[in-house]
Amino acid sequence: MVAHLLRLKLHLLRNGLRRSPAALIGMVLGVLYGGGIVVGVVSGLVALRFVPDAELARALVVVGGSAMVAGWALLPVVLFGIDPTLDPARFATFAVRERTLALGLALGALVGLPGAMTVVVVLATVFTGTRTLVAAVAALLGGAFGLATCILVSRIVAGAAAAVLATRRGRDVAGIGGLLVLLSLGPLAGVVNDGGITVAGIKSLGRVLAWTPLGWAWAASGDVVAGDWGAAGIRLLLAGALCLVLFAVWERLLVAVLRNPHSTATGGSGGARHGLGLFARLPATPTGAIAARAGTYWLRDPRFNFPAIMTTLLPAGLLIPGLGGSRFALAAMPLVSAYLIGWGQHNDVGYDSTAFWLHVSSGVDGVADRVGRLFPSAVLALVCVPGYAVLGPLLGGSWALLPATLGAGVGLALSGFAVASVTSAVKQYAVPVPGESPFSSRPGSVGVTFAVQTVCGGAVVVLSLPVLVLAGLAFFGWHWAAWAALVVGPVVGVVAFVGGVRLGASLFRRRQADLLQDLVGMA
Amino acid sequence: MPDDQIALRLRGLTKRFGAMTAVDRLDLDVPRGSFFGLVGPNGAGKTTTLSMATGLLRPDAGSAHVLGTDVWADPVAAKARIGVLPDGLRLFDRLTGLQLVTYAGLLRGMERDLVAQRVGELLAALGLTDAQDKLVIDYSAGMTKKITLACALVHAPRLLVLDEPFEAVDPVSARTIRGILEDFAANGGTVVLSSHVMDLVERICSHVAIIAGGQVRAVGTVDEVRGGMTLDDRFLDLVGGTTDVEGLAWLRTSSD
Repeated sequence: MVAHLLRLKLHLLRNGLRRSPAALIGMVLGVLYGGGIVVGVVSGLVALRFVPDAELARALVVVGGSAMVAGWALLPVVLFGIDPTLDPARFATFAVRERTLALGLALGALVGLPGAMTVVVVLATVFTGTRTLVAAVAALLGGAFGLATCILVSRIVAGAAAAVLATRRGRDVAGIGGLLVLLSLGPLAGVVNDGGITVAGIKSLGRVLAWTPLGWAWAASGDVVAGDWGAAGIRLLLAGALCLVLFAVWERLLVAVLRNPHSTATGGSGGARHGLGLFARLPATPTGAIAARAGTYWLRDPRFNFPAIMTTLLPAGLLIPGLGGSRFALAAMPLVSAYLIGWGQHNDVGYDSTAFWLHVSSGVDGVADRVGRLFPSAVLALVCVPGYAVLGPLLGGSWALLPATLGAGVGLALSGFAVASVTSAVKQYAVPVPGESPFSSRPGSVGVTFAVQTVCGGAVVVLSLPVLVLAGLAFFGWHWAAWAALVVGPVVGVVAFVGGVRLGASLFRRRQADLLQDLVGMA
Repeated sequence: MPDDQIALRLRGLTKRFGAMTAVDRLDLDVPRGSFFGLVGPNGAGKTTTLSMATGLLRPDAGSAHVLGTDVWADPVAAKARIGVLPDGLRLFDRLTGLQLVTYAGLLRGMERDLVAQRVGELLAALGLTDAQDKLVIDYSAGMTKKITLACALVHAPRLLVLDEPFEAVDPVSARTIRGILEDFAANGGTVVLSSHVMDLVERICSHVAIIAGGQVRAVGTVDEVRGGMTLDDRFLDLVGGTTDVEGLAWLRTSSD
């Protein structure tokens, strides 16, 4: 049965690649990128085998191993989306023993690019441990425990995240959690930025991590080399026990999902809703109605409000180098904010999914559709761009640069809206459908997504090139350029915006039925 | 039939998906004021035909005219006269019922007061007033069909095109929907609906077309098409396919 599940995962992987050339391109890129990282890490680990300072070697393996466990736990949720191909709920109707299923699904996580990369890296840590025979055995055992910890933790986190996000209250909690993660990156980056990486620092970090669940499995081999047999034994026991506990938790979670597969439906009325909301406040025109609908969705749908929070907060990450004295980082904040907000609109029709038929069957005018959709982003930009532009000088940036950053911000946001108006009438890529977790990814669409995003990003930058050059000149001391940017940014932006909306509207008039069929094909 | 008596005229309508021809040079005339049923087996091309007739799917060849207006040459004018209830497409279901129907009205460019008045009446007629502040996603299947019907009716169309309006709908909601449609047709509107349920089509439709393999196999008033048989028998007669169950002896648990 376990072999059966592994074969199923392989089949899913292969069929996903066979379905579209874009998926294949995505996979090739992934192999090249991931392969590069693996080659680097493996050669580092091989080199560590021959480093005279055995304690440094141990500390590096522990820190790296801990980072790997943490990565398996967090990256699927934060960055890549949870791979739904082996979603436990899909097995609810089959008569498979729960323990077998738990084992099979956990091992299934190893099939695929991240799994293969991790296995190779773990094998390399075994080589690092070959200073003595016993150390090698300890490294092998520890590696096996570490690997098991990685995949079990990722399964548990993914399962728990899906369950938590399914409730409205849970989404609020997750939003705050995401914010905390983002903020906690601050001090971390600060340490790196201070040039604080020293051999002593790594060693002490390694010593601390070695006594945390993240590091137990990876430290045992180093303990043996150091002659500390007792610590090695205890750590291996702890690591093994951790695996058993994690497996038990995973099994419990799986059983809960299997016995109650659709407990994730949104429950409750979710607060008082009454009357028309935004529909009563915005103009009673098609444009106003579309704006009200988009605004309502931004407030109600986690697929919108989650990225909106991220987009709002992400530029604040630049405060870390900024407060460390980087004028450039402070000046760049409003630009990054404007770019993210404008560019973020490029797949808006994709988020409508097949509900888009209502626009098609109503014969909505292209301009109304294009402009109405931009409303919530425009509000966000009106708050964020000036906010970040003023925040920079308040925190020690130069007031002389304010006209330049404002002008460039307006230019970038308007260019982004212009590009979005065109692309969201031409080609949309698959996104989580309404009701799905904002973190889930659509298998086999990586290539198209990547291509559309890159083209859009490039187009935004090209359109705002004049004002970006002026802002650059201003930054390097040509004061006249700042005021020129304040004029050129809005002017070029408005021209681009009007052109983009016109082109997008005429494309929308001609292509709306084809666009709908694209969306039907993705659903 | 003279042109001004035709509500929906399809000529040579064709759609291919890859190697598969879903709709094959289909011709159809739907008379004004008729209650027109479209029946056919799964995969016959009913949904594809209705999508092309309402401007949701571009045909590879052929034309569709609604009350004399070409749907694909002058889509805005044609769509203003059509109300659509599609099957298998999502709704903007994060809106409340009230918001969704209001949205449908405002998208059509109607005045706010007119929209508010009609939405109130529609929700009351469909028995949805109590649920108007609930999110559409929390609606049952029957309520979802009814709210979609309200969206299709809010701009007072001349032609209603409904894809499987009675699927997954409980008898009470079905009766409500039926009452509204019959009223609509009795007052000069035209209703085109597709369905799997022969009994229902036989009872409520004035005209019927049987579609199979992307073509019209029989068309006319219900009495003309059935020709003395029940519609069910006539349908199986035309479409073919065996109804005898062979094998599966192991499913008959009584043989143990």
